[in-house]
Amino acid sequence: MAPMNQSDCERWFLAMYESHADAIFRFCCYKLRDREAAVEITQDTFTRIWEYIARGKTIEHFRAFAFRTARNAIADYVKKARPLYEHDLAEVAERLLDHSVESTAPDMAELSGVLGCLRGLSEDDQELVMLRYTEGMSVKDIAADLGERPNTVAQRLKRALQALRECLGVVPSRKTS
Amino acid sequence: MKHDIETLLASLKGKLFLTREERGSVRMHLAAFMRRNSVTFPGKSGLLSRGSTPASSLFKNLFTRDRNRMAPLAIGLILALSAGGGVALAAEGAIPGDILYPIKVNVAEKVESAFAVSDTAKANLETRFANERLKEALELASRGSLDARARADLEGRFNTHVESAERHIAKLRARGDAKGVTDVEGRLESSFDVHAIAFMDLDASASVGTSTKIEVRGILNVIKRRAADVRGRSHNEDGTSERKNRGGTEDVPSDNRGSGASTTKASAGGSGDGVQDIHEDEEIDIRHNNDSGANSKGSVEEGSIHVTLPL
Repeated sequence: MAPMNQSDCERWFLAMYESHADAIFRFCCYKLRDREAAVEITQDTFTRIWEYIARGKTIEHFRAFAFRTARNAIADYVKKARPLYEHDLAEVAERLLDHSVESTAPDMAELSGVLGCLRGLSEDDQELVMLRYTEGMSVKDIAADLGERPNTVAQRLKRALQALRECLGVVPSRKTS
Repeated sequence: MKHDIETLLASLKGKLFLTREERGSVRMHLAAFMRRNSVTFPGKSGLLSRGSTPASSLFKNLFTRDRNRMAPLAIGLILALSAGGGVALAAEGAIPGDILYPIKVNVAEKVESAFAVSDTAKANLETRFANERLKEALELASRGSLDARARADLEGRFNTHVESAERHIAKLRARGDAKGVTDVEGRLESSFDVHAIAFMDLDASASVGTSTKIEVRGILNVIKRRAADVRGRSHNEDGTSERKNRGGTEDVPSDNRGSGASTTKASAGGSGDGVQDIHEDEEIDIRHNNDSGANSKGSVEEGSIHVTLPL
């Protein structure tokens, strides 16, 4: 454990930002389905974290703390009576994806389908699916971050994936989650 | 469905991320916000817990990143210091003009460099030394003792460190170590951003003399040029043409948060750090005083500076 001064804290924090910004941004995209809002809330999230650090508080697990902060920031954003965007699915995918990334029309159509079906899941399950399959976090890590038992998380993931497949009319895969 | 759901969800990671422009804009905001909201340290024991917090000493990298790679350096340094290198440790906080400063840059840092093994470690070390030169320039400027000679010396050393870091980054790139390149370049860019903001603050400060401001602007230009180089190279390497930010104004979510800086576009009446709608190589005005008017072109005498941000 090393003592830090202001400058060290700033560099450390910016390094944390570089490491986690994309994951937090994707999380916000999932929740808000709007790219501009997601960038705004990503900024808000890291600003809040710095405020917390600036008060002399400590952070045990940065990633878990960042996701928790992002959840709060999103909740505050939604409370301000800003409606979540309800565009058609193709438009949702269009709004989320960066235009510099090549995406073929079939890719976009498939992605739109998945995004649409995700909306049929509970907020908590959407989050689980995103953390597990997009961020590639292990069930154990997700469970630790959420304060739940790994078995519970695994079961919820299995059910969520099944619901997604049914929604998309896909024959259930033999793969396990 | 051609792809499995899990594959599609995983593919989002490669498709859904902040553009370089968005990432840089948020980072600029954070850098400015951090400078306005300094950390309250609970006495000397002000510590941050796990999560790779850096140390403020010569040993910073030893106990944080690259632990395995840095182990030989740690042992070497401990031996070197125990053999009379206490002076080097004492020189750690020295700035140009101090008796111990030559020990710091010619002995302590050289010893540290000698023990850096991998290109990643070397690039990180050179980035830190470059960062250190900027900190020293800031310290001198805030004391009003940054003259042309000191500035030229620090500028030369800073450029040397940055060029050395870039050589190691090039090696990483040649080996296809994309993550290593991104990490080190991100650190380099962060350092440029943090210091660019700090120098801009100094340039706008009423307590800094005119002659010092001239040197401050000189350093600022060097930082901008270097930042543009790094970003230009990354941009070319990516081979992508990133889109410009879309419109929209910031809605600050709390009372004291983000006064003026914006992820996408600052409101016309914004004040504070003055970070505005930023586009690559675009010239903008940054106003540092606390007036409430819309940002507009102005002269240095009016308290605003005209810079080309490296973003």
